[in-house]
Amino acid sequence: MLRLTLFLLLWCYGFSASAHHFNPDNPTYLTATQDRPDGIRVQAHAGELSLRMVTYPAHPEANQPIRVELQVWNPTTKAPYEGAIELSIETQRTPFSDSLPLATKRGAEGQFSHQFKLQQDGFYLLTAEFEYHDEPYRIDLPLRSGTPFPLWPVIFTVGFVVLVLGGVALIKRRRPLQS
Amino acid sequence: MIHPGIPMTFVWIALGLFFGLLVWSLVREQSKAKQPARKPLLLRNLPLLGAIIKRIDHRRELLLSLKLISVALFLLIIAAGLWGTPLGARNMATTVTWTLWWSLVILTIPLVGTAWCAVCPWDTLAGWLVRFRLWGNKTDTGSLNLTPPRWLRTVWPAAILFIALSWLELGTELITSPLATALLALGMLLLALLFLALFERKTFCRYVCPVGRTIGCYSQLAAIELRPIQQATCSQCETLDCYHGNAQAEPCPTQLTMGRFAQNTYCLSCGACSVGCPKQNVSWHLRPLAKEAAISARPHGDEAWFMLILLSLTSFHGITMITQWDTGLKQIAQLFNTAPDSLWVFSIAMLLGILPPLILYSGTIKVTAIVTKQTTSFRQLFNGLAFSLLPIAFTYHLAHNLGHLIQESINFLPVLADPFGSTALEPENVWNLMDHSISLQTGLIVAGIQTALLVIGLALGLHILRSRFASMDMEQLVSRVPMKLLLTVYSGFNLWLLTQPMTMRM
Repeated sequence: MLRLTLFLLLWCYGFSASAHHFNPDNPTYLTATQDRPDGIRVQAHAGELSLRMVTYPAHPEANQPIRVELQVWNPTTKAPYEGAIELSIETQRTPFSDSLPLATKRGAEGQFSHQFKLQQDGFYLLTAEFEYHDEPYRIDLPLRSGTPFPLWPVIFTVGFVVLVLGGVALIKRRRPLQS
Repeated sequence: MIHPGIPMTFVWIALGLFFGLLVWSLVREQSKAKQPARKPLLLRNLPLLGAIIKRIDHRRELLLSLKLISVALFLLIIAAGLWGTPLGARNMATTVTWTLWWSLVILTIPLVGTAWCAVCPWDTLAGWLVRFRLWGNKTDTGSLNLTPPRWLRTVWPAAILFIALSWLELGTELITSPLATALLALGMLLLALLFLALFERKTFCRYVCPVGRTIGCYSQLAAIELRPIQQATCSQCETLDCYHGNAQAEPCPTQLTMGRFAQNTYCLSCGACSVGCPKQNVSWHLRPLAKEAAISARPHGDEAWFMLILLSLTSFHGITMITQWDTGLKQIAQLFNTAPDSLWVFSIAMLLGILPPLILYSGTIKVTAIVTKQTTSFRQLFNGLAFSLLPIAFTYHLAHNLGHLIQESINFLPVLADPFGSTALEPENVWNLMDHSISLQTGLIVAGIQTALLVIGLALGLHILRSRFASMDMEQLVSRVPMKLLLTVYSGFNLWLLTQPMTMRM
């Protein structure tokens, strides 16, 4: 019991609640130009900082290079954020998946960029985290790769229904035999 | 996105009315409570509506059609959650479930009572799968028909599930995740199916479903009820078709007998009793608001706790959306030297947020018990007076959800046009939520309605208290003061919550 309690407490401790993460405005689609492909942009203001995050291309395919650009600045002083930023990616297709760290970047003039690839089609959440004046900041950007169509919840549901109904039918069939 | 709270003009008006209601209720205590004997108004006798009610009373087609629509919508929501865009504000699963459906369920309870349970897709789908038929009675179903164990036969499982769901919803931002919403909906379906396959009748609906128990509890305030047309006919009935079922209809899924039926709490509005009654003696009646909570509902310990938890959780929902919440989280995080966004910090904050109403109510009941010089026991008072909390919780819930419904309804049209949000990120479909803020006039109307709801809630709460005190023969004015003060102060707290700028969910 003590072990279970300790496990639950540690799990709660480690589990990061997203309820109070910084919520950006709705993503905006950027049309392609001669210099770059189309992209998705989110921007927002939280605490003392303003943030802008863009990914190119807007809907990448699996194994296609994806570029993320992030700009952070203080809108009052116009000073760029010069600290480090941690980038991570999380798949949105299973409820228990862990976040996978991508890179820790130090910016130049408040500009950060990173390039990576996704090996599988799916829905992802690209996250940038950093600290400014001892305050944690976090921004999330939803990312879709390819045309994902996960079936595991349906297979699990159908399997569960068959198992329960089949089990009940089996028990009911044995009952008269026993009696 | 943050929306401003209700303006101070409304606050002063509400505070004035709160004070006026408190004084009036204390002055009114000098006269004895009289319950005018009114003949119940049968809805089937009303023009226009009566024709529909008659059809619902004795035929299943209309209900079946509504169930089919409900199941189709449910499956569409699951599909959108699993395969649609992960953007919560652009996906039907999150928008319809959390903003439209949950708000509408609460908003319509005064008019339709527990009618939502009658078309519940979890129970309908589970029932079709276990019973292998769309309606009517079938003796050989795919269920083991076990009697639920004693520990399960209270509303505590529903209360615990309700707290757990609130923890998930607020702590993990479940309501903005279409996938999590779809998985939750599937999980509830599987739970309903499991209970239906193992236990007799609808054990899940009666004891476990947090949505059903919330609707059931609030329905004690509703203006409609399914009751016998002639009580004498039920008293003389020897077949009890409503309880046992017959060839036309299944037995009452929650084991209620129409002749002794006094409260809506466990009625699922399925109409099995009205269809199955050979004397056609069951129909829908119109009644005064909160009549059941004030007079006919019987006090039970588990239900009293459920009402108290409802009061606590509804306010807690509001607390998590105000700006001071983040400050509170940071202070707790500093105490434990951890990050304010950890679930551990949220869990402590939730515990701290939901405990005060429970302690406050218990303390007030203790004071009342002392003042009455122990003529009425603490337990009797705790169970009996909890009904007065119901309108306070309900009207705040209503006011809070009304705000969400109006302020977040900007997403509905685009979402209904594109349930999966597949074109949400195309250039022609990119919206900026900041440009869609509601107009000042609409904001004032919403604020006015929210204020009026809290005033009505306090008025109903004081009215219920008066009836409940009378039923306990508590004649002393001084013994009634603590609870009346508690209701007034709590309404004031709910009013303060509504004055605060509130972070919208989507």
